[in-house]
Amino acid sequence: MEMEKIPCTGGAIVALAGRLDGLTSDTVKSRLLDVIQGTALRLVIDFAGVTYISSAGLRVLLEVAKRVAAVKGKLVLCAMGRDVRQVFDLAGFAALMPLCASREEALALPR
Amino acid sequence: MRLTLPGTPDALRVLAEAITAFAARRGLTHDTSAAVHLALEEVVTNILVHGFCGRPGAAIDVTVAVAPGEVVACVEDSAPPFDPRQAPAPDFDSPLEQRRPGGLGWFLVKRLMDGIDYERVGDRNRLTLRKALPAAASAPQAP
Repeated sequence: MEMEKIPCTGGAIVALAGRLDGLTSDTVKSRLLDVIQGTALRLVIDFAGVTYISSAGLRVLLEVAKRVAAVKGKLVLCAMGRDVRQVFDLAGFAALMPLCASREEALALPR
Repeated sequence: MRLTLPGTPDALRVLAEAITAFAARRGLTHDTSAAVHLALEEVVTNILVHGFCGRPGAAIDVTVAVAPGEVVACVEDSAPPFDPRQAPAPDFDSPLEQRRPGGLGWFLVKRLMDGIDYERVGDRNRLTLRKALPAAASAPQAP
């Protein structure tokens, strides 16, 4: 799993690439929580490079969403591919966190 | 296809490679292959995390076969008895901040598969998953 952090106004974009599964979820979770570090930031997670997500990956998103909400930040997901989107929808996560088509859209979303 | 997976996280890597090769060999659609792969990964992860409590355990046997109209996958392990049909449902009702994690894996398996059977055979769990093949795979599509 590759992760790239790109600073943006008021927060950061984290681009993920690879498989978000039981093997990678702990690393991804701890690095995303590091990015938040108790600041009320806008966190955009770019899924363009993510090819696979399992329930372990969904749990990471839930934990990150909880942490961002606790510090009154904003979490937006973007650029999810078809396979990952299907699992995301199947688990009912679309109702829990905003999902945009692109980074630009995610950054333009009001807080 | 018959696989013997190690009772360690390496099982997920072995499973991923084997399913991809099997799907290509048997001409499964991308969606069918992705659903079977994810369901099996959730089942194996549950055995590793809950059945073996995260410690290395005995080998897990997996078979996957294409039957008329469906793919049938069978998983056998020697962890303590566990019937997934009694797994608790995920917590969808609490606000995000209070949601309990857990139950998501089995929830996905149930949504992805068309049938789930469980039996305890001797000192082993045997789980059978069924996924219907899309009708388009056997009939030509209308123009």
